[in-house]
Amino acid sequence: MKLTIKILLIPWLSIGAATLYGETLTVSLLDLRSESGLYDAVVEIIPIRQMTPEVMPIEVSVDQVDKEFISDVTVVPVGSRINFPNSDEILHHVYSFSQTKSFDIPLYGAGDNLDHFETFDRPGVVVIGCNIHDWMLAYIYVAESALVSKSDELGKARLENLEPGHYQLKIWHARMGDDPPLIKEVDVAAGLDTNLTIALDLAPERRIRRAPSSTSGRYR
Amino acid sequence: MLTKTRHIYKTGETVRRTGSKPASRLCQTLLLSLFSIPLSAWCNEFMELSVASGYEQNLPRGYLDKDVQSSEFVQTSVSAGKFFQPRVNTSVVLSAGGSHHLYFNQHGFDYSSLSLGVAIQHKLGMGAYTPRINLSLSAAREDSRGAQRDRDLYGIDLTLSRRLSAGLNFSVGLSSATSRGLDEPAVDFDALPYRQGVTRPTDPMDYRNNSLFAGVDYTLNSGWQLSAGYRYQDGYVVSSAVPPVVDLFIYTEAVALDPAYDHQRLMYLMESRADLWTTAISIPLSRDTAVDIGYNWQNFAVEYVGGYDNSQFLVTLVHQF
Repeated sequence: MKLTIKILLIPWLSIGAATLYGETLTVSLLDLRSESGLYDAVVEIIPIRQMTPEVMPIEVSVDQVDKEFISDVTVVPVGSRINFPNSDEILHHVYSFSQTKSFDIPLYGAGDNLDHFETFDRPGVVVIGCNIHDWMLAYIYVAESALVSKSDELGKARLENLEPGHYQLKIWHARMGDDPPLIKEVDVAAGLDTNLTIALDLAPERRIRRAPSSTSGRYR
Repeated sequence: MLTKTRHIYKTGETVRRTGSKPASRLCQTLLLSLFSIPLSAWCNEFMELSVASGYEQNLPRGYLDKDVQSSEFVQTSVSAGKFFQPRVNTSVVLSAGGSHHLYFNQHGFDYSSLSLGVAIQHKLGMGAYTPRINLSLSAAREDSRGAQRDRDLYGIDLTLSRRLSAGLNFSVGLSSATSRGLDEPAVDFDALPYRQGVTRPTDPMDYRNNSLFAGVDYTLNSGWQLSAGYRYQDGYVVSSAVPPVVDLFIYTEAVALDPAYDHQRLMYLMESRADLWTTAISIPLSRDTAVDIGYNWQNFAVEYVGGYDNSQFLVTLVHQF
């Protein structure tokens, strides 16, 4: 993967008095291939010198609707629990081979396994799939910090209520493939809004095709 | 291995197999099967519609230039079925289908088909990239405009496939197809311009083809899929020709008046080894619909006679409900 990084650090003087832990970091991610904002990237910052906010595990659902996972990228803090409901009238079989979390929930139908939660107790990226429907693919980003956000359709990820200080910045996107997240360091100054613009040249996304063809099998 | 399913020589004997009543029963069974699919479980099932239009260069598999005839065609097919997953890595698909093939330049080759199939797939592990073995059995009845070309077609395929990456998938396999003619016509050999008293079997739709095949498909970032396949076929080809073609008559396994040409031609069953090549580009229009543009080329080698070929260009619209 060719990775080109251009970082523009633009500290702006905020108007008004800064409150305790009231700083904001906005990361704007640019996809060099499409020359537009990079959607669904994960931006996490980890305090280096200052106190680390307590990580509060959560419980969330990654649903399966019309033979797709909802959603493509789910971000949870480490220790969180996730269930995988099946909202289709067919069987699904969710699995992951990822080192971060390996699991397998065999063959279950609509309404089953609602109380079956998997615990994600190691930070990293977990790739999940369905053993029946090969094209079904989604990612779970397990954050080691509570300071994490996903970029919106404009490519902007916003982290608020930050303590001024020195942070490690991690950026991950599904198009990075097996490569590790991009890691940088960033300073969040007191009384300043910090804006970063990062341009990424990522390989195009490769997914197993879902559309039928005259040569493919009939059940999909 | 060449296998001829039947070798019955008849001279001037009229043997008619009753084909219409079993055909009706098969149709009824198929329709009942389709309509008995419970609507409440519709998502557990599939239905696929495809419409193809194209051009076939040598529709009658003509040996001599004068026998070669091309035609544009349209074919429509629908299939529906049910998917079962009895075990974690094993699935079973039951399907039924129907199709109609229309040849604009030679309506004698038009035919309709009803089919039933079962496919059992076993994955040798879990995930999208694990090898898988697929065994499929099929039975079809083809009803053409002339009874002599009506037949039952039975197929068995064993395929080993593996996806190497999100874009690249390949498969190899063995298959066997058995054709059983539903009508064995009477042929007055003495009326043919060959040596008096020389006869041949009169069941050209009875034969079996065995083949080895390999295929690969590659999906581009755009979602377009390129595919290529090769099949080596050891078996037979039915070739239609204007008599007299002495070479064909001498080496034919069976001969009959061809209903596709209002009995003005003969159809010969010839032992052949064939190379069948396919290429296609599949363009997704949505996640359930695609347009495929394909080119197929077939070369038949007939011992003592020579070789001849056929090519086909077609555009197919596939939609899955």
